[in-house]
Amino acid sequence: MPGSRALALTPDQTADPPAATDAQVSAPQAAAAQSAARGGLGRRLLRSKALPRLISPVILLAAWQAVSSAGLVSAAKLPPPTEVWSTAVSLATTTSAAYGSLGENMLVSLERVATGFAFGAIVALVVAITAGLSRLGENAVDPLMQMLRTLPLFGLIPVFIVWFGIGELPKILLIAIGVAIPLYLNTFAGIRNVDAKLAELGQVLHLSRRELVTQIVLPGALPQMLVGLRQSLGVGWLALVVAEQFNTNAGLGYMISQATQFSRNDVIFVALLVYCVLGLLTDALVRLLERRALSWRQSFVA
Amino acid sequence: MAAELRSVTTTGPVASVRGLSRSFGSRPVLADLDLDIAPGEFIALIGRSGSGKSTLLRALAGLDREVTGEVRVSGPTAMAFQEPRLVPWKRVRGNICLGLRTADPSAAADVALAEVGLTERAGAWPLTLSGGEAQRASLARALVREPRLLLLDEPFSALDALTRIAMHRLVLRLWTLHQPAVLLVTHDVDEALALADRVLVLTDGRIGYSYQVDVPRPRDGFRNRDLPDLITARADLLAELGVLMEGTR
Repeated sequence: MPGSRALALTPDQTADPPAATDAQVSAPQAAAAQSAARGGLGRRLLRSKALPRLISPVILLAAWQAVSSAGLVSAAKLPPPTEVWSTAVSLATTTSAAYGSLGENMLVSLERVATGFAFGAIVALVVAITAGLSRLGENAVDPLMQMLRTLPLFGLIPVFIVWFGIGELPKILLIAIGVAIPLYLNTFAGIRNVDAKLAELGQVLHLSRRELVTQIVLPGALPQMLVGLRQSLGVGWLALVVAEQFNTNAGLGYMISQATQFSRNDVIFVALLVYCVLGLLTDALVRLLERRALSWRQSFVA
Repeated sequence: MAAELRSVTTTGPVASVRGLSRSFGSRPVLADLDLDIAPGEFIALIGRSGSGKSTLLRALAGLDREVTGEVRVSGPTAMAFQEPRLVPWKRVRGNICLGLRTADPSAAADVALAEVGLTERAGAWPLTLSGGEAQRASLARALVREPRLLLLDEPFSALDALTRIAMHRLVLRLWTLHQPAVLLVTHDVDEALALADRVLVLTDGRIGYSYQVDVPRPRDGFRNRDLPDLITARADLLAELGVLMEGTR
């Protein structure tokens, strides 16, 4: 499930490439995709992908409600979905002294993750392309990135607080580093794994260095880069959750740490679910990107 | 552009190789090899596997920097590989245009695609092509560069028998049309005899045997069997390759 993938990813975990996920399309799903090919883009997405995938989450939700309604678990430990929903509505519509408003917290968190992501992604791409295209670049950069990779990311938090204080900078840096590493590793590997035979073809066709990079190497590395992008987003959200729970006065993580003090599990659940939804949305965005950018491969799968 | 080059340099050979040697580790593959290719000449190069056929071809294409000796090629060279090597993320037309430096690459590509009968597949992704279609696209990509020397590295060996016959005819037609010199590497004696002006056998790192095919084309398919010259030539060539035919020797 994309949700669990988005939230539970670690840098070492390899997400399956898009082709593999698409190869698992079941027969009814394929039929739905076929019938939906006549509809618009939105309808096609809804019919072919979203609906069959919604079944298991809905069952989970129903089971959760049933367990709560039957009184098997106390509402303080596991609030029923209905209570989580009403809390969500009240957090969204009102501004409380303890938590602020849900919308505002969400925006703050989104801004943090977007800034950290943009920064980390740009650095990762520049560095990976430099290292991927030349031995000199590789020797200069790759050992440092490999060292950084083995550093426990969240072990850096105390150091960052000492260095940068408790403002936005340490949080954004944490997210940026978390994002940069999987994107770097996958982009670098993607560039190096481009078929040597195609490089030879480039030689026979007298491609310029620039043509070779833009027409052969980077498009060839793109599938792996997109795998890295999905991992990056997962780590980015994870780093956000951790970073936000220390010394913040706004954001979803702030809501969680406040709710912990007031023992309001329903608020914690709301915040967690919002993280989930945001993670799902960014993952869906990358999937859409994959579908567009790798259509040459989709045609092979279909 | 290519036409001008052709007229300037028609006098000498298109390619001339002198004293070419290449070893892989301690094993010499090419040893002091000499070869001249005349303009417009169709040469088939056969040899046992590992005899250095592809090594020679790669040297002529400038892909092998470890060779010693002299390789001189005049005019543009193009190459088609055993696997079609189409760039999978470029549509067929984009593959033909790749690295093409003419005024209107797209128009040139369309002409080339029409010549190989792939006009309707111009917008297709390479991964959706059949083996024969992909190999035709690869030929179009080579020919659109108007080469004086066309290097073919076993381009038909992975195709089924019927497609291969169609490809033989296509190659002859394109060769007549564009008149490049062709060096075709193959391990198929019948293919060599059906297509080439001259069949060369590579043994011990040199051209060990050369056979001038003076039978007019077309000479493919069953017609081969009716031509006594070709039957003798076939037996001779196979003997050179170390395959003795029962009843012929």
